[in-house]
Amino acid sequence: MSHTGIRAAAVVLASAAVLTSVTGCGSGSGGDGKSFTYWSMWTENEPQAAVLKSAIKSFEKDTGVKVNVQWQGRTVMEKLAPTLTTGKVPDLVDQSDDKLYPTLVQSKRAKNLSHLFDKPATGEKKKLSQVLKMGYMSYLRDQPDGSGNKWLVPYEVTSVNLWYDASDKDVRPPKTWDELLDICAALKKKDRACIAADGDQPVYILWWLDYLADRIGGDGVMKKAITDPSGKGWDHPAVKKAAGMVKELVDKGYLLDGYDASKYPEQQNRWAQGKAAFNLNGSWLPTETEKFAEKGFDYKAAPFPSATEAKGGKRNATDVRLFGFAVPKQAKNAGAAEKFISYFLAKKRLSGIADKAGNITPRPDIEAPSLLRDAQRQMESTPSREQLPGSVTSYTDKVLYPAYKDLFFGHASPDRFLAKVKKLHTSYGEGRN
Amino acid sequence: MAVLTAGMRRSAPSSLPEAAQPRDTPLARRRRRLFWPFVAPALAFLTVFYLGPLLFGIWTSFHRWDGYAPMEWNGLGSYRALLSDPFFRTSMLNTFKILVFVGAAVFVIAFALTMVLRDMAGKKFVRAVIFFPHIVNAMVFGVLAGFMFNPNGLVNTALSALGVDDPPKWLGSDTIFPLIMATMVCTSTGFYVAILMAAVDNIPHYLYEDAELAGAGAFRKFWHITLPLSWDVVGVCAVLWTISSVKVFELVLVFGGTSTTSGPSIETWTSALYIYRNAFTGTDIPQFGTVCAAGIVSLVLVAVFTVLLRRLMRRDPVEF
Repeated sequence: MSHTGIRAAAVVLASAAVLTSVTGCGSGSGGDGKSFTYWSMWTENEPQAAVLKSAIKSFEKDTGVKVNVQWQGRTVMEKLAPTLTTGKVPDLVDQSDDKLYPTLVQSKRAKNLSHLFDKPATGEKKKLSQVLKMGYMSYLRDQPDGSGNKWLVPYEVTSVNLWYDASDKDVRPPKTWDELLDICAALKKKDRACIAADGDQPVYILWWLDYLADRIGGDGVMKKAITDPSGKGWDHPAVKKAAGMVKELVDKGYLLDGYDASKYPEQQNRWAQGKAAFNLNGSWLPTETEKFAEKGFDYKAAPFPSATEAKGGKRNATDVRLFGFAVPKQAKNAGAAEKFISYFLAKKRLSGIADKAGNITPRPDIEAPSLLRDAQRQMESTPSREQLPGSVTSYTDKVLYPAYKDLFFGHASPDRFLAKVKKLHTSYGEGRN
Repeated sequence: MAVLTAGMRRSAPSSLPEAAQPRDTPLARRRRRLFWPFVAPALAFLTVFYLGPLLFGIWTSFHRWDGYAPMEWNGLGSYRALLSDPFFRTSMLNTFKILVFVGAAVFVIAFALTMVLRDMAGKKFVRAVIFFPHIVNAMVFGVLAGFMFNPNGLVNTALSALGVDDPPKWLGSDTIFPLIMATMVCTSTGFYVAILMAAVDNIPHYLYEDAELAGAGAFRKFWHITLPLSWDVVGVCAVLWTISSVKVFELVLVFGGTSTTSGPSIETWTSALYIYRNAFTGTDIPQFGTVCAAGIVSLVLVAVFTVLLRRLMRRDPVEF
């Protein structure tokens, strides 16, 4: 190599070194317990962020511990993943349980938080496990080592219910599936739609099948269908029956027209305008649709109707989703982060999630905002279940939605739906090498 | 890449006879000395930000990797997984539909507009108007889609006023992808009109006058004058289109997708979207091996397509 060549190589290497050092820079934390870093799932202007912000302010004043908060927004887990190998992890994160699980728990990087439940929240007397409804956490997936250690401390909870307008004289909450069909038939006679659904939201329309299979076959039917690699879970008679019942809704024309070709949130807004009676949706629905609701709209939530011979019965679980804190195993200031968790879970602070952010908390002693009181009562009085248990985003994308859409949009019979879902289930399994 | 070929070209003269070699002139020596200082920064950037990640991507595609645990050797497993995923085929097919059908439509319309605009009064203004959709962010069209094409949207309201009782389900599973392609035609055409116009403006006017005297119609003028004389530019446009069509992403994302976590329906995915949805999975462990394999496969296919296209379009430039 000539001198020029060597010099050139040196320049290249030097430039590369400069570039990598620039891209690789970051700030390390001392681990002295006097401060901790919190990456939040909220963006700064959201009401939950405001509640957390005021708690952080008083926490800093009361304890002298500095909180470095970063409002990362919903992609907080995507941002967390690359830090998990670097040792520059935040000390505290929050998200919904299904998003926390793959990144933090399945990868065995979540700290055990069980001990926080055995002591009271800051300034209180009863243990945290006595003031939270612990039943909510029963559906959570276990640590990979099967230890049963808790990896999440929930501060907000949502549910899926059958929403309706109580001021509408043609509508009443159906206790059973047959009653729902009766109400729909009566509405149809008056030329009114019974059910509104945003068909471009996979999970929103899948809830119908998921809940029905659960009501008919009990807990575990959908979980087996989704997670059993052989695909035999889809052969369960309860799934087929549920698919048939969904098809009946479609065939009888009980769905608000346009559900198969609209862009979310068009159909839920039309529901709030009184165009349809029911909307199977999350407890976030009132907040989302309030602006569009017609005057006097009285939000009420009914449990998903029973569909077994024994009316009501045991199969009355409610779809629940928890949002809460988790601490990565490598967090240097885990102690300080845990201190904040205990501090925030105290009734005095957590009430803000209900009063100011308009959501339900996992503490029964904090009353939900009036629009959500029904939903809260149902969740507290029924077992909790996970929606589409065991499913992940790619499974919904590649198996559930492409097959189920055909059924829900009226293009396929239950048999054809099941054949397609099994076929996609198999190819999905093969693709997971 | 231009940098690399420039480097190669410099070494070419060595095959020339000794006397013709400019090696010893002081100017050539100084030039040679300055070559690396000028090239090195760009090369370093290229290496760190393109070549490095590309090699890492190829390496990863032969492994199982979730992004944090150590990589596990997987051989061709990821590529086999792609083959067994019907939706990878759908995504690739969609990309090619955009490449070929939208591309054809864009070029036909762009040429037609170029022909019309050539002699038009106020053509600069019209060109600006046609170009405008290109500078509007694709997100806007995605968001507008709901407003326009919802069952009770603007389009159906207008149609029902015209007496159409049963309008198509615009955003339905079968129609949404053609609708996305149509939107792409609207947003991209202006860009190519602008480039083609620049080429066409350079063609001497007397050639057209001559052709007119010889009795040539609009199409003959286009075929015998415009096309051959702007062929170079057309070739560049074709490559530009190929590259940009493979990167189509945000329009599909917002057109079919929504503000919540669920993305667009899988039937509308392009290869870029396939990669994104498999890498940033929401509630799933990412499978970076498969994701990288998908990236490599689409890169290879595009490279092959571009080379073929260049071969196919190779002509001796017409001097004028």
